[in-house]
Amino acid sequence: MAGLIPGIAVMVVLAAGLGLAFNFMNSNGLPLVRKPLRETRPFVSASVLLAQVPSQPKQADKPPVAEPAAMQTAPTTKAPAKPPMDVSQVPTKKPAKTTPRPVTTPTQTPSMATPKPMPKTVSEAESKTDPPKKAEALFTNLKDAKSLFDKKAAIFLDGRPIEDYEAEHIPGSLSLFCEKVDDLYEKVLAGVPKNRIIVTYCSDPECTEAIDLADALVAKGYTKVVILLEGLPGWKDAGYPTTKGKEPG
Amino acid sequence: MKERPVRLVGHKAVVMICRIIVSLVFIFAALGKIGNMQEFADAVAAFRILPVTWVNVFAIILPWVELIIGLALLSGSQLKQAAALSILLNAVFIIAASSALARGLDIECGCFTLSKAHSSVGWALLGRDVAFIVLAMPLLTGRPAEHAQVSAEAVS
Repeated sequence: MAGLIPGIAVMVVLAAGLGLAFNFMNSNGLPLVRKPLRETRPFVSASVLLAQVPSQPKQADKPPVAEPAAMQTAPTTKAPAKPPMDVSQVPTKKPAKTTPRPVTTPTQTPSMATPKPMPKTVSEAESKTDPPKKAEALFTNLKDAKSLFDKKAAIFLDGRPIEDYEAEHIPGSLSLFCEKVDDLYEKVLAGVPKNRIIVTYCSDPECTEAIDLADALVAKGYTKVVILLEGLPGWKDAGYPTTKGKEPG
Repeated sequence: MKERPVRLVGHKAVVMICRIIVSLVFIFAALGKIGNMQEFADAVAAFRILPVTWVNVFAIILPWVELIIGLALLSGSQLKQAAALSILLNAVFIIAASSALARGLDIECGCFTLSKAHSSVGWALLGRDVAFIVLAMPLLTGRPAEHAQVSAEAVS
């Protein structure tokens, strides 16, 4: 057996060399040092998500002023709160067609608006000098997700397979397996306005199902999609409620 | 005169079948991962065994180790080394999967298909890795002459 070690070592070293060379030449190659997922995107708080956008008259030559929510500090004035909504109840009638409203700071009004770059949404983080990035959802933490849950201000989407959802899930959440977003999102999110707050979750902080689901929804025009990075295990560890089976209705 | 019983474990046909199966499994697994390195790295990270900063290096190198094992087994060169390495890799996979199961992690193994619906860590996965070890054992324990004869017959 000991005689096999040199041969095994040669094979491993050869594989390492080939792998690193291929990765270097590959345009989709991986960085050698992986960052933890929580360091790859900014977090956004519930207060920012819940900040109300003041109604603005349509002015074709004056786009609404907005900033990425992730770059904002907490608003200085509180907008009037929306009446509590039951996240398990998906609106049955289709809302009037509106373009998704970006989150803005409440102190900004149309009269102050001067022509500025394209409006930003919660789910975008662009800078003027960087090349345009693919729109992506942001993270939210457990406390903010629970706040949204308690206020019934968000729809929770479970990005795991349906079997895992039925085994256990956050009460009121809907199942939308991340690999079937294109097929199922219109049915699952029927009648849900594009600016409704959506929180996606999956198995754990290094699971990417919730991230894939959230980014897919952002690509489809949903503007307030956030990812609960801790997932269901973190939710349970914090002592928050869970339930089993299918949701009624 | 009594006929000698046929030794199944060292039997030429058995060795050949084991070589082909194990080599194709490893080549197929390797190509799937090389084509989807990001998803494989995510699958490795989900096991939460390696430090996060090491995950990508592991994900970059492992598929090529599998590919070299598969090609070595198929070609018959460095057969015992490749068989030993395949057994070692499968043992590592079994330990990782068992650890994930014990911790109740609901994850995909990323072994062959990177579809999240079809490769969950579970007892079936463990059984499969044990089967691969069993298939590789005759390659490790077989006599060199038999392997050479099998290779020669395969070439001719």
